[in-house]
Amino acid sequence: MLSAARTLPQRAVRRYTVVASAAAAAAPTATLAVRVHGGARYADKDGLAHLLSRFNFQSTGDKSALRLVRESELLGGALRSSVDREYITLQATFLKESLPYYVNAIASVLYKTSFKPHELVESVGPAAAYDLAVATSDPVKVAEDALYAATYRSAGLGRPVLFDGVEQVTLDDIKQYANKVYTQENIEIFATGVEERDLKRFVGESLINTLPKGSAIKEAAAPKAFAGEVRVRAHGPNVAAVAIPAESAAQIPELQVLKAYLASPLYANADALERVAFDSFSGTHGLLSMYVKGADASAVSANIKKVVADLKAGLDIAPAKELAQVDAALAAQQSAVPVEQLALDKVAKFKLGKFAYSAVGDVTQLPYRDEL
Amino acid sequence: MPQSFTSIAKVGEYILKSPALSKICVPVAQKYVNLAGYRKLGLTFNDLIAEENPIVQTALSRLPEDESYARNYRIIRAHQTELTHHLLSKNEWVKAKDDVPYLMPYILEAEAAAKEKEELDNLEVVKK
Repeated sequence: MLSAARTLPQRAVRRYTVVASAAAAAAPTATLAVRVHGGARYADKDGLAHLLSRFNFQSTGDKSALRLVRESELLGGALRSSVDREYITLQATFLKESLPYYVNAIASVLYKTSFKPHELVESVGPAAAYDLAVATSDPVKVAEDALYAATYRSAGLGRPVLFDGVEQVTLDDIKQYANKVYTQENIEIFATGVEERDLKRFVGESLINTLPKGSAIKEAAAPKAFAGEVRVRAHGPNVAAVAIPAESAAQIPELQVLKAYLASPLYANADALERVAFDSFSGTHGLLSMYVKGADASAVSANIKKVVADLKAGLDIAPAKELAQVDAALAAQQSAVPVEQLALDKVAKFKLGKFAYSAVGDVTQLPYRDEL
Repeated sequence: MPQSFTSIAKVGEYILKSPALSKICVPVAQKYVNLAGYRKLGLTFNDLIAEENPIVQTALSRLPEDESYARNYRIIRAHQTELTHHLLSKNEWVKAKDDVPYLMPYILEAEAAAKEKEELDNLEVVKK
């Protein structure tokens, strides 16, 4: 059912990576994703990557934004550009026969976006403001940003992902950043539901092949992690969150299993946790985060104290190994980009070491890090 | 239906490209500009374009800040001059080289976008 993604032999000739997996070959739809190492951690200014991501699928040299969207609608496809700390991802979902159209559409976005000044004001700015409004209305999202800031401070990963206007970003900054990250060495192309041969051919004929040469700006070394604390006073539900950094590749499987364990009924206090997430970066470092959310600040304090006490006492997480594997397989099946396979042999017991803490909401009532 | 700026710009380009036509039309145009006298009030030709429609409003909103400021200044000065039944002193008249179509590129862009939207809205899809 699930065929592993393969790397093409042509890789030496064409610098960018092209990976196709023919999973779900019978389905009529296909997904094409271009992943660019250009997320928030690589941008010199806060929010620059977010604005660039929102500039994707705007007017290009040959097509206006409106025409691109309308044509894509008529073909029955959808275009999406998203940003996170590591990547800017351009994704298209479409009927298989329109593969060449979407390869060319994404190629011209990477190569020929016009960056018109009025688009920044009229469409990109409001769209970015909308993203920020959605994110700030969710206290869990605010707590997540606070955890990253507490763990990594202002180095790369600690920077905010979304543009908030605190730091001024001009159109020239965005253009320069696009030239820096949209290079052959810095992009990876993934597709599901298409023939590998077809994909290679269409990509080879498209503008992606003539993207300028640059250098891969992928950051593989784990940044220094701090055991910090951030408290954000806000209206709405209270959130207390704990983050555990993985500072080496060896810690990643352990935290993956811990994530599966905490989210499953295997863990006695699983109901107390609103969300458990693990983000892995370059396969060498990552951050596990868990969130306790509630309207009642005293219940939130009690729950976060209980969870941290459990983690400090040590948990036998070995029973969740298979669960973690199933989670990974499921994630691999649902996403266009390959998910790293886990080596879970050595995972047995987890004991809390370094952790960062963030509290959002009525912070007078919520505990401090050293009270946990 | 009034003429679109796109079609006017197209005719203008055609005239300038043909040597015979431009030999006739350019002197007439220059005579017209002198008789119209707007340069003596400190205005440029693009200041005279009627702005009470969505296309020109879009174009105006996209003008860079300094050009927008200069345009407002010229229009206010012209109103004041007209009100007092004066012309500007001769050294303040707009020279031919300063009478540039600063607004026209924005209008043409807005018009092209509106036309494209109109076409896409009325598209008929034919299945092959």
